[in-house]
Amino acid sequence: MSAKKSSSPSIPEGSEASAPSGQASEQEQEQKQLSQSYWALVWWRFKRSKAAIAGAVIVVLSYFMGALFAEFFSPYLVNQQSEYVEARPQWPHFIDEEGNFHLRPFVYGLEETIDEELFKRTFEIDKTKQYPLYFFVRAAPYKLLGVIPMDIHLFGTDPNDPEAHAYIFGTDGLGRDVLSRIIYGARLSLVLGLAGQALTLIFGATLGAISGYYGGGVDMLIMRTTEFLNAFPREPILMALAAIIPDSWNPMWIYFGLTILLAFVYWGGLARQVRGLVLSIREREFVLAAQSFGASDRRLLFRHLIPNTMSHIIVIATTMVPAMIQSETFLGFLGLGLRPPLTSWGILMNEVSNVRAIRFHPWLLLPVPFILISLLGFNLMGDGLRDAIDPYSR
Amino acid sequence: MSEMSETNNVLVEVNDLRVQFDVRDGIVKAVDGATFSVRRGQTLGVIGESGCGKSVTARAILGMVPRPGQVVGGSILYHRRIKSNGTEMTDIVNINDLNPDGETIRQIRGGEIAMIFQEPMSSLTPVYTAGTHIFEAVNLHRLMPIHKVGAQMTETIQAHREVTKEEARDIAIDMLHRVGIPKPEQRVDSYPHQLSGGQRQRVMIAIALSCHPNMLIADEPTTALDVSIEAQILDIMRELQETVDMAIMFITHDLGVIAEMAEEIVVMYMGKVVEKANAVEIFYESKHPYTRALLKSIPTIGKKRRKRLASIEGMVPDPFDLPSGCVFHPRCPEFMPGKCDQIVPSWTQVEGEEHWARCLLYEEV
Repeated sequence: MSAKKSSSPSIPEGSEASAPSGQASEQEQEQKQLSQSYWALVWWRFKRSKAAIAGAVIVVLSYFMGALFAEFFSPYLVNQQSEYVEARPQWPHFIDEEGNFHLRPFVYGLEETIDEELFKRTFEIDKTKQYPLYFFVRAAPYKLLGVIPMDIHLFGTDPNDPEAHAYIFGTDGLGRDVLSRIIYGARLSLVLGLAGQALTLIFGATLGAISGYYGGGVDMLIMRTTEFLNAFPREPILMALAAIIPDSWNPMWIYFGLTILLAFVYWGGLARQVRGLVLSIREREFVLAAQSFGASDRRLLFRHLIPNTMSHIIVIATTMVPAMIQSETFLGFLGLGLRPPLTSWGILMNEVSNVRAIRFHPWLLLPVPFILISLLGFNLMGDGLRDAIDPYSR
Repeated sequence: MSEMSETNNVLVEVNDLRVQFDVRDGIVKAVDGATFSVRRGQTLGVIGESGCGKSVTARAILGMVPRPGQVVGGSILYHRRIKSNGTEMTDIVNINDLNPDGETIRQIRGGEIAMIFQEPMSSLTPVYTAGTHIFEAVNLHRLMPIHKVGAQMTETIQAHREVTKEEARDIAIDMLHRVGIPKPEQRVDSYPHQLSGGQRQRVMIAIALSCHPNMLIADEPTTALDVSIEAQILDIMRELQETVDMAIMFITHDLGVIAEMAEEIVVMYMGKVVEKANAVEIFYESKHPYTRALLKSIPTIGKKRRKRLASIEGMVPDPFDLPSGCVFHPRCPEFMPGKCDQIVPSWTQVEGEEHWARCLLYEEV
């Protein structure tokens, strides 16, 4: 049994316990395992890594909350301004001043004060006012996914009390809710990561495959181009190229421009890997066989060579998405990336890129943990995928 | 049309084919004057040791000589049968003159001359099912742009199957059934890694036959398979050949297999065809010393005497530095000093109508 087990790693650990009848069901199990499709095997290995699963959950959640349903998950609209400028976070509480426990969480109100030292208006927590938080409240109207009109938000204050407000992560210099802006900011940043990666994939895989398949002069040209691009340090070349995007463009154009720019800077790595894979795959007999059945070069490239590199491409792409997101944040931080009125994580970082913000409103730094966690999620998922993608190894 | 009827039976005529590989260490003459022809419906066996140019010849017929190889001489005449206005005509195409990436050659590949390979393990694309491979072959020859090849070709193209997706699936199942794959309805959705070596080779044969080619080039199709599977595959090939009237060019180094399959045999040594005759004559009345030596080296069952297995003296010569005169002379048991090492033997008819050899023993010098 144990010898058998070590020789066939594809039998799940639990099979012994669940199959007391032994030999027959084990063979059945093995048979089942053998007839699994490639992706079923990948999934089976992937889910054995807890870190990878955690990463995948983080990634899926952040896309779900940020990219798809930001309006629903955020209590306020992205550019909804209020009189409470640079207000402190109103953390939710369960226990009030007197020590009474409330099942429904509440926030304390805000009170306007003058800071004598700075001669400045500030908002302090006013513990005399309590606003309970409700789930699925009707507040500012929006269109879900851009089409369905809705006004329900995941949580908020009593809609019948015009005084009530809950800025649990505080507000920025224009009185906008920081939490809502983090959730909205995720949309542009995360989608930019994916879109940039998709473009990189198309450019990189196609050029890499052409380079590897044809070889010779074409290969030389493509590979020297990637080397030329790789010879520059990433950040300076991104900065230089981002500076080319004219200010006069409307924000959406800038967004597309930035996506293309990121793809342009990042395609080289992928192209080189695909080229390497294609160089080895094109010598396999099935390529010769396909050719002997009259397949054209284009068919060989797109139907036989690239699909066979797909598992590797997907892993490389997953591990590169966080780099894209990071680049957007980095450019935004320097003020070279997306610009207001868009809201992205880069723009949020740009708003705290001064000592004053860090000294007096440190809550504006709250996007940082969100950025870190989502990048971490991507990296964990990518690592897990990389280990899982070759189920026949070991 | 009288000339037509004479050549009617010939499908592929290889005349003095020369293929060279220009590599860093010099020029290798992989095929150096190969001459033979394949007749419709016939099985031609090509035999020779590794590196003698068998596979390169086969690939030259499909216009697929691997880089850095180059066809430097000779011709490969493919007699293409075209039906036009109810009469049948034969159009002779020289494959060496065709653009290797052009429409015509791509149409011939697979559609008219199909090929199966030595390694069934790697001849199928790992990401597609058995069925997809067959649909693809069928589709390739259905989707060929008609207008580009000229109006006269239209009918030939329509003679390829015109099929929808559902029909393609049925064709695939039918083909798998014909090559003897059990439960073809299920196997049609299997990926190559789920099939055994024998099954994969059957799938390859099914793909090859799905477009009704006139000729099948089988490049050592059973070398990687075990003996019982080999016998099954050979049976299937023979059976199918009878039903679809297709020529087979069977390349192997296994004399037993060739004896079973071929009607006519071509023996190659160092890129040259050294002997050509029908199968019976090759085995019982071989003329060239190389062929005789090859036949002697087959181990036989039942010999009581303890005797070393006969082998051919010496080593295969260095391809960069071929011996002068007859390339086989350093290893030849019938070496004639002063003759064999100086004169290059020519392609001579020996005995009988269709028995040719390249040896000075049969030449008046």
